[in-house]
Amino acid sequence: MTGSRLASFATSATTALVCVLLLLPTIAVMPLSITETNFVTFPPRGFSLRWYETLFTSDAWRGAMVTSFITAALTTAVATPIGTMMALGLARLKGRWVGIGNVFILLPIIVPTIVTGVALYGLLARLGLIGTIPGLVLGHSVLALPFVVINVAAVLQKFDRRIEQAARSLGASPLTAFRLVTLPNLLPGVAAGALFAFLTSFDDFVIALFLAGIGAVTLPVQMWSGIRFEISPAVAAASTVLLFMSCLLLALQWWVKRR
Amino acid sequence: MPRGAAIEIRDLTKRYGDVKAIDAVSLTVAEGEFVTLLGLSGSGKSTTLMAVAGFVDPDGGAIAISGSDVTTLPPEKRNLGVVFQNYALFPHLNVFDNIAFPLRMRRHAESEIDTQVRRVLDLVSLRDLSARRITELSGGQQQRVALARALVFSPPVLLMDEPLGALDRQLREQLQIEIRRIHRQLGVTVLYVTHDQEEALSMSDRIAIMADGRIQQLGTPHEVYMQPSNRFVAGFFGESNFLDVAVERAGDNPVLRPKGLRDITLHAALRRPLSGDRFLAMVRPEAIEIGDSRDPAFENNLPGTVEQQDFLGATQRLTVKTGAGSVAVRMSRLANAAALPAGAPVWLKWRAGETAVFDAQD
Repeated sequence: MTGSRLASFATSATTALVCVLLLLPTIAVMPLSITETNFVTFPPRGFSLRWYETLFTSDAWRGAMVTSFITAALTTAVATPIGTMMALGLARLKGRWVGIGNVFILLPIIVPTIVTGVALYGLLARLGLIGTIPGLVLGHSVLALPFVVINVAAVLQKFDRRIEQAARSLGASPLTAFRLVTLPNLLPGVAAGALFAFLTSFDDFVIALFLAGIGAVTLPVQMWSGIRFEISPAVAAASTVLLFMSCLLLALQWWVKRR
Repeated sequence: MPRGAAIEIRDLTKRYGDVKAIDAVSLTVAEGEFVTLLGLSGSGKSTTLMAVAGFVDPDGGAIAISGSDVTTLPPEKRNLGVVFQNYALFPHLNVFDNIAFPLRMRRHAESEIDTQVRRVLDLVSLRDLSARRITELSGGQQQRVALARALVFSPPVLLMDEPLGALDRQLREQLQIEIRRIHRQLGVTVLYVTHDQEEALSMSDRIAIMADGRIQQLGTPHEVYMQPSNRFVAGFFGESNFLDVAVERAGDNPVLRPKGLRDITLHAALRRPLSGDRFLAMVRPEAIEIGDSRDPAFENNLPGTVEQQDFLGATQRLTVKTGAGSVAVRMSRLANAAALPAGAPVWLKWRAGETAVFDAQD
């Protein structure tokens, strides 16, 4: 083996090892969910889908999943158009405003989520939105916005504004030019941003813990209660579902980007 | 297809901060005329064009098309064909839908759209490519699609911003000829922007040479080439010889005396009055002929000695040292340069009409 081939082998081996170390704890939860027992054991005993059944039949778990889906869908619906508009506005900034605008938009990522959570709790409690889906959607939209902006801005950077001007010169009003020319060309970025927004909301635990109350419990919050009060294998089943959703959305995002 | 419309630009000014991108530009383009704005980058040529298109909001002045003021009209209401520098085709639409776009904006019937798109595809010789994606086209084909899209709705005016800038030389020359043909065929008024002097000379009815946001000279290709109004314009079109002269007799046929030469006078054909006290006479290298004695058939005769010969392919250049400075002479490749070795005494001779005079300060 020559030196460079050895180096390349070492690099690959290290990468593989890191990947396994990163993935192992996550994947380890999956076998826990198919146990027949009433408690979490490793290795699992027997094979049963009863905990998945629990997930889809018990009021608490099913309610949490429905709340999570509705919240994530509404967050996507709120954050995607607003984030897209923010990215369009950001692209028009000039001079030192570019830096200021960028930092401002990234703030929700920079500020520790728990701080955002406390702040949102204070605000939404006053508005009577704790324990409601609209409250959750507002909180998650704050978290999701930067991801939409980043994804749209990335596409916008490669977008030639002159094709918008071309549309205008050919008789399109500013709105028509945006709808027929700008938006279709930004679509990959908008779609990727929307998927990220969905995922951000679906995965969030910290904000939801503050805002869920008892009326709007999401899947991660329900899992947390599940761990606190009973270490039920249903938590492992829920983790597997959550993991599967994330993988699905990331795959979808990858597919969108490739097109 | 309607004939072209006149464009009238009056005192157009645009500032970016403290910089005047265009400074009181006035220009009238007649119906069906082909006028080129020629200049280096930053000269204000593209800003002027984009102001006519409606994408630059002027700080002062007015633009009228067919006699009606459009200065504050949004671009989509001006009904002008615009061809952009990088074509600006819609990448998510195919060739047909790109070209159909302006007709759909105008709510034409689909059958009518089909007819019109096929008509312009024929015009730019792209008949078979209507279903192609834009990314599958070559640069020259993209250029033709952009042209077809700008013409399909029969605009009375076509604005073109460096349309051939991205193409290689051979393709550029081919498309120059095609754009000229389409211009003649349709009678559309064309305002064209380029930095390529040969392109401007070969295509235009008139050329406006721009620098520092102003029009330096406006004239036919012959006028701006042979009678440039200042040193900048002269220098823009290739090589030129400048001689410091004093004006001995002003008027229509002024008599000029080169600095440093007592017994030589030069003659020029002048189109405008002279003012100032230092003047430059200009003559193009290819306008000068070589002789071995003073020739009364030419108004201008200047003695000198050969300094250097350069072979340039189609032509050869002779550098001749005279009492008024070095003068470059361009001869055909077929001229017998062997008879003119370095140090050989020669007479340079040229016509009065080939001599331009302008104020050295301009």
